[in-house]
Amino acid sequence: MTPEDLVSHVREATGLVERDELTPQGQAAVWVAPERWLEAATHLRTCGRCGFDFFTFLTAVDRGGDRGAEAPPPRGKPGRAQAPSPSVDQGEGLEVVCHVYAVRRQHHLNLKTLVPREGGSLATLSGVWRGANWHERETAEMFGIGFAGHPNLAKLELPVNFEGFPLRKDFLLITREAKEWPGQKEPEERHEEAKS
Amino acid sequence: MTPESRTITLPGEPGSAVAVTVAEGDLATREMTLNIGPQHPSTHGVLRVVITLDGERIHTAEPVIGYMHRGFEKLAEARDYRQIIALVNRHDWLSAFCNELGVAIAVERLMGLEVPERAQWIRMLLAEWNRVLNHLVFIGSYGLELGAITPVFYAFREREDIQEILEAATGGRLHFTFNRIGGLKDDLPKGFLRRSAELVRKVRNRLADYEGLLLGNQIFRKRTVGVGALPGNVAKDFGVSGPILQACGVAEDSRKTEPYLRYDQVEFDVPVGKNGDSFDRFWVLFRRMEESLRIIEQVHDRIPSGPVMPPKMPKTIKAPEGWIYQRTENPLGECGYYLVSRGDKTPWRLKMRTASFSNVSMIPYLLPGILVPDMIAVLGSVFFVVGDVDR
Repeated sequence: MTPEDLVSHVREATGLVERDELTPQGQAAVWVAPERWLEAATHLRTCGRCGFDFFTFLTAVDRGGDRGAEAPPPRGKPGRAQAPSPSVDQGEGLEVVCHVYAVRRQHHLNLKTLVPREGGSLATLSGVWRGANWHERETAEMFGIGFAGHPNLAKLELPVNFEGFPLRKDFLLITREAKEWPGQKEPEERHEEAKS
Repeated sequence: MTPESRTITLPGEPGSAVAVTVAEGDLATREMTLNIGPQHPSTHGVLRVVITLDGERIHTAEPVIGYMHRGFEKLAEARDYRQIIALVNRHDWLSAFCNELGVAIAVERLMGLEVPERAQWIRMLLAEWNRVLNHLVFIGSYGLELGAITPVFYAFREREDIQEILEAATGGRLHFTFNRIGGLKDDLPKGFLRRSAELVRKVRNRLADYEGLLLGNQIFRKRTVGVGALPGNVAKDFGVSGPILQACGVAEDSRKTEPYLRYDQVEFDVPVGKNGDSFDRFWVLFRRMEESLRIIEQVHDRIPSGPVMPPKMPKTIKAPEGWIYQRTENPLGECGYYLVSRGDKTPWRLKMRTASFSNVSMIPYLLPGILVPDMIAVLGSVFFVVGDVDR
């Protein structure tokens, strides 16, 4: 199916699609409400026309905003990469992306949803695709998103006593907290900063 | 309790003594937890697997990863796209060139950049050499893990030749950093194609020897045929890709199904195995190398002349707002980058979907039920590089 057909099929068959995206590069994404996450994923897995049998990845994207009072503001210069840009704003929070592929039908789909930064949680997909197990563990430790019903949501890559959610935008690397980021993006940058 | 059985209390650490019921004539056993690694020759880095054993048979297996977690994804958010090329070629250090490709193509597609024709063909040439380079490591070291010392010396002899021509082109041995957004750092050096053509002939002849040495070896067959068989639908479920998936009989290869570079203009086949066992996985590696050599030869004949960078490149590279998922067929399987850009010169988020991560996540499924001596035969054929697992 072409990405357009695929999106309209998922829209009609599930009735769960809130919004869809088609990129100029021909990639498709459908947005569902977080409480319908499992239902939508189950359809993608079981529906014969979708046929999504290959689990590619699951991750999250910090959209910034809603930082919460207790989190310290980034210590880097304002306007650097750490500061959220308001330009792509379809809601703030953590965007969860699940990418699946259908081997025989050869089409891809990104299933997306938005969860709040504090206490955001989704139903686990590890019962739908077994591969989701580790990807959810990684997403949980990196972004602080819960996955209800997950068999073992222990830390995967981080040490067990690690605190914080490193891939969130308000998490600064230790070296950066101590000192201005050493790797400036442009050679001129530091020079200009030194002058000002 | 039947009359023939009896209860025996097995000693253990304080508080962990257990009572087991044993049938007449049987020995009293208890499950044992065994820690494999983090340092073990069959793990290609620091992977640790905690297994519980029932006698000689593995009951459960749980990989413990993260010993090499270097936070590439976080770092990428503070690096511009030129720097990211140098960053991504080190998560899977055996497929450096192929890793770079994914990022370069993703940014080029977002920007709508037209990559010169010659650069596309050179990229394909070097990516295929990188694939052979990678597979030779696995073939050599797998023999070593099974107790055959000779293959690794032979495999590394050819590896050295390939390293040399890649070094001649890129200046690097491990981290090539030869791709640029839009094309390549440089054109090929003089005489490269002739040298490359000679090497194809040499490697092809030698590969036939190695195949006899390994796949034709009775001991090798005994240890790998039927060991660690993986059904194709389970492999897909876990997101296992590349040679392991192909060994299960699934002809999925993004060079065929979603051609990037100029893979749609060259002829090659996607080899598939039948049983998905350790033997088939290595059989597929050999076939994949042959196909790579076939592609390389076609590149030699058809590589066009011209520039390797677009004539007009912006001074600073900024990917426009949007997102893209770009996958490439890396030597170990599907390597993909999910890039979210907010129009800045650094990515907003760069998710690395690596083949090894998904491959290793399948180990808890594959190991239970097999014997301890087979564990090495299975782990060595689940192709992974630990840097690629942990990122």
